[in-house]
Amino acid sequence: MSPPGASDSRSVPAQQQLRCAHCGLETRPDDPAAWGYTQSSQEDNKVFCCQGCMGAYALIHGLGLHDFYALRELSDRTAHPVQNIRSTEVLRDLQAAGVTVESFADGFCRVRLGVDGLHCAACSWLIESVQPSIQGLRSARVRWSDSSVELIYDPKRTEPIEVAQQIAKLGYSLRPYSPGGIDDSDSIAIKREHWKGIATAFFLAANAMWIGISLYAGEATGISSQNATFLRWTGAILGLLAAVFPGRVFFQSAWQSLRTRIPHVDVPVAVGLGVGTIGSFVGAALASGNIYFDSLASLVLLLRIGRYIQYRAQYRSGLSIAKLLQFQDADAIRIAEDGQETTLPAYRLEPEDLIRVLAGQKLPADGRVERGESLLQMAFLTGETRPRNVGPGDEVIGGAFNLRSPLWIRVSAAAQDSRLGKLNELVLKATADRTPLIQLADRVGGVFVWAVLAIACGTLGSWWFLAGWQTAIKHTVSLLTIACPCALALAAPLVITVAIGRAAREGIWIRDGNCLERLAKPGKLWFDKTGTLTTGDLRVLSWDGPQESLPAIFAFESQSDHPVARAICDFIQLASTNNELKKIEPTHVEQVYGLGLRGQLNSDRWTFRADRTSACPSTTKQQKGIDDAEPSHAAPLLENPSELTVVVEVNDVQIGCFQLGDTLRSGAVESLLELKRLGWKIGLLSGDTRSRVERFAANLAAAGILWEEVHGELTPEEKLQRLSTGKSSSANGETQVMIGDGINDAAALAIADVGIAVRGPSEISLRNAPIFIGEDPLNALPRLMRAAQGTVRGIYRCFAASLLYNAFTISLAASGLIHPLLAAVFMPISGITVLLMAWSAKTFETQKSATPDNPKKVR
Amino acid sequence: MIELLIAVWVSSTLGSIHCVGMCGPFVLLATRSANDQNVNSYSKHLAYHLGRLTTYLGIGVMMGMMAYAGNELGGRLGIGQVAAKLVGLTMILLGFARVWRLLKGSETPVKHSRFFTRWNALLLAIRKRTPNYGPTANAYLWGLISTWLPCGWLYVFALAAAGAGGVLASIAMMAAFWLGTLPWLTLVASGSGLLNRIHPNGFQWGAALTLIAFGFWTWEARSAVDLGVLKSKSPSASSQITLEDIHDLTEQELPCCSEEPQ
Repeated sequence: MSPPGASDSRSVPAQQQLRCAHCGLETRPDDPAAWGYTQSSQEDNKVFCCQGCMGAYALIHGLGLHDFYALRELSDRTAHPVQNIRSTEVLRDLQAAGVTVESFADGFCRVRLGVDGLHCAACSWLIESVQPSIQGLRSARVRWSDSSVELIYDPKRTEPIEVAQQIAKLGYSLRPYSPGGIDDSDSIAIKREHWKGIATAFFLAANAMWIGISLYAGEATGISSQNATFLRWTGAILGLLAAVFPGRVFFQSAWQSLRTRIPHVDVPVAVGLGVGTIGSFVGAALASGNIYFDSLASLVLLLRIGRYIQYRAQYRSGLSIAKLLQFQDADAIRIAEDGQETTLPAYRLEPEDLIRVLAGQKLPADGRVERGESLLQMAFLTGETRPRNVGPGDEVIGGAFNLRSPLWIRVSAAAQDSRLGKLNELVLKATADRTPLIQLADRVGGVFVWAVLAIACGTLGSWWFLAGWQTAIKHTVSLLTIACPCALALAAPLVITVAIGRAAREGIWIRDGNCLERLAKPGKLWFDKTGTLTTGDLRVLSWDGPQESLPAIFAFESQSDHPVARAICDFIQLASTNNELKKIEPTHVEQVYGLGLRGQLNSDRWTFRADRTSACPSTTKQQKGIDDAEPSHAAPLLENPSELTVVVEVNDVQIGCFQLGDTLRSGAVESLLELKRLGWKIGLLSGDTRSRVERFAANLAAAGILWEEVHGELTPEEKLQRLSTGKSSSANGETQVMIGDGINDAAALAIADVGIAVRGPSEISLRNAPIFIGEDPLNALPRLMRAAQGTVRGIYRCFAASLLYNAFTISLAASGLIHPLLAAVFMPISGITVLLMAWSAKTFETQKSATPDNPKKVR
Repeated sequence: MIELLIAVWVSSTLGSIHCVGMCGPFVLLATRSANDQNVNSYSKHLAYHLGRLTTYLGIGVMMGMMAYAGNELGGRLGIGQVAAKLVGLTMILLGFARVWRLLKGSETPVKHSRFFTRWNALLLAIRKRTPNYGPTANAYLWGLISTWLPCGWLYVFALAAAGAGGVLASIAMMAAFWLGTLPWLTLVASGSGLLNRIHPNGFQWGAALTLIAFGFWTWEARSAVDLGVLKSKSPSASSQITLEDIHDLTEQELPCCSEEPQ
């Protein structure tokens, strides 16, 4: 009988899932009469699965422990979040699942999804192989570093859920992608699976071994044939169970591999286990010869342990790469409306959050300055060498370095939506590229599997003929177990991914992994002049006038935002003290178009007249080279010729003159010399006047730079033509590399074999060129070239190690010199060795020194 | 007897995952202090489980005494082993009824029961009136009192204990049952999320089949032991000894007279 008030609760729809209020068991929704209610809880009616739970609920509530249930649910949810997201069904509604879908003009869509179950590089072969079997799926690219796959598909013909279902048949599950990289909860679930397999294999192997020992002991001391038969069959069944349960992962992978006709590392292992199982049963049936089932069970145990070790090594490696590629790893200080400050990871910021960025910190997100004034260094992202003054209302970008004082910023875009996030995404895509070397490894890996199977057949036949079927099976199983093409497939993508990640840490953004392979072999480097070899910014080269008038000049020029005025202010600031500069306040300052600046100071009329001439009207030059104030920027000998003069007049009388011009980037000469030493030929392609370009080249030639070719007054089209001619004329196919401005030289950067942008907004530059170096690009170039060589050398070294390992161990196994159990121990060792070799490949070495103008290094 | 105890222990270990659902919350409440949710002390765990053991042993004593009384009464009335037979039959019937309901696919409604409401109120009153002796004593009380809540799984083993035929055997069976529940109820405190991961149908089937199995054992095996004793005393048993058997015996060397040390 139902209590009063129960009818209200029965309005719950019949199909709704109901759970016991105490233990959480599902109750039958189709029979409302089956719901139980309690009156002990005065608050509401509850559903219970049994009288016991009803009593327990009453007891807990009666003692005033109401909060217990809420706490329990919370702890259960946090303990096992994995359980709720494993189903691919969540991908049926991508919007609800929080998955971002990008649409292209041609109607195709792109989506990135996380993959569960990747355990070696060979898995990506299988997943990518679904593409031809799904109509409307243009490509499926696995990115191993963060266990994700990018699908490009036609939404009219297929949906990600269909792809996910197809991939699920291969034993992998797709889920919404978490940009944070490898999810720890995934690792826990996979780890648990591994441990279950190992524990079961251990149990079966231990029992099989005891039976084996009994049989061996029985043979020595005498055992009845009935007991021996019983033990032999029990052992054979234990061996079979080991192969069927903990060993099924190998058979599953092999079966998937055969279905998709993609060779997989587990094919030989599965064949080996299958042969061993058959041998074990034949031995039991014939009741003669060696006992094999204990070895079979132990083999499964060792293979599972090896697989687990390999998984852990790859997981750690993947985690390190994910961290390497995670640029937005800074913490942010968020200020709540009540003024309370909370420190949180930058990726958790949201638009409209107010944050505080201290001096010496990186900006964690894009936004607008609300309070404070400071100086931002943004070379990392824009190639702008000079720090920028910012104040309230200015837009700022994440990743910029706050040099001077705290800033209060209202976030406009954070995490993946920020400019840094988009750049991050471009670089991450490069890690999924199938470079020629990776494609070669894939092909070799595929051939390898079939070759191993062929050698195994030969080994089986030969040893059967020579020593009988039992010896033949043993040696064949050894061979199939020890052969490991996994290392071969793993090496190239891993080395390239590690190199790209390390490069990003160095401020070198690489969008295309192919570039590293191309840069490994020296060719021809074409440099743009302005903004590439020079800073591209106007600077004061000299001041011809009295030193004491500089504070007054500063007072006028600081009223203007014009680049000329900024250059003069920077020059005076470096040459004076702050106290001197603050004392003077001019009046009536105005900017006059076509003239310059004019204003009043006390009773004097000051005029600043800009002129596009290269020499000052005065003949009494009081040289003050910029190197006096800023010695690191350029040697006077190598200065670019003056482009502009500014004449300073007081009451129409000239008191002095500034010469302004572009300056050579720091370390340009040393870098160019280093590049020459590395075997690169150097050329200059510039749009500047021919005479200026030639003088510039001559200045550098005097410092030891040997130019291959120098061309001035080139239009963008002519630059393209030069590059095309260079590409076609190079008989030995030498690499043509263009280094220039990300926007102005976009076409030349795109047509070159490798384009390296050194200036311009980072994400736009990185779309035009496969490599962007924002910060200190000329010094970074030799490092990039050396790293490219190191990367390719690392790949070849891993290939060599893998091939040598396989050639050596396969020969030993085919000769009957390796026991199957030893083979199982060797197999994971080979994979882990290649992992370590890939990780230790000399790509980018961390810089040890930190300099004030390079804030990245003091992070 | 030892086989039976092992059977009870195995059944309890395999089937007591259901205890996690109902008694898991009590484990958490008993072993975690109000101020610190993360504190788990061995003494509180021990106290809680000892509290449960006390109840189970009490139930064992009661069941054993009832079975003993039933047997004594049956013996006097000339229907020996009546208790075992009755208990066995009850268990089988309950088990099959459970199976029938599971096959039929609908649950017996968990109805509001006046008896159980009063029973629950009584337990609550006892718990409320117990003075606070500290966390360990409280844990013991949780174990002691919560086990008096209605529990079908416990009743299966209580019935099995009643069919054991003696007070000591009954107590031993309840102790074996308690031992079987320990792993799951200890795991629940590890924060492994067991509370939400129990499959109800699996348990229902397990409980029904265990009930039937113990029912048959109580009905048949318990009787067989006693009948065996009676059989050995019957004259027909000796009539099967032949002369050849006696002859063989004379040819065997007796252990006392062997020359070689044994």
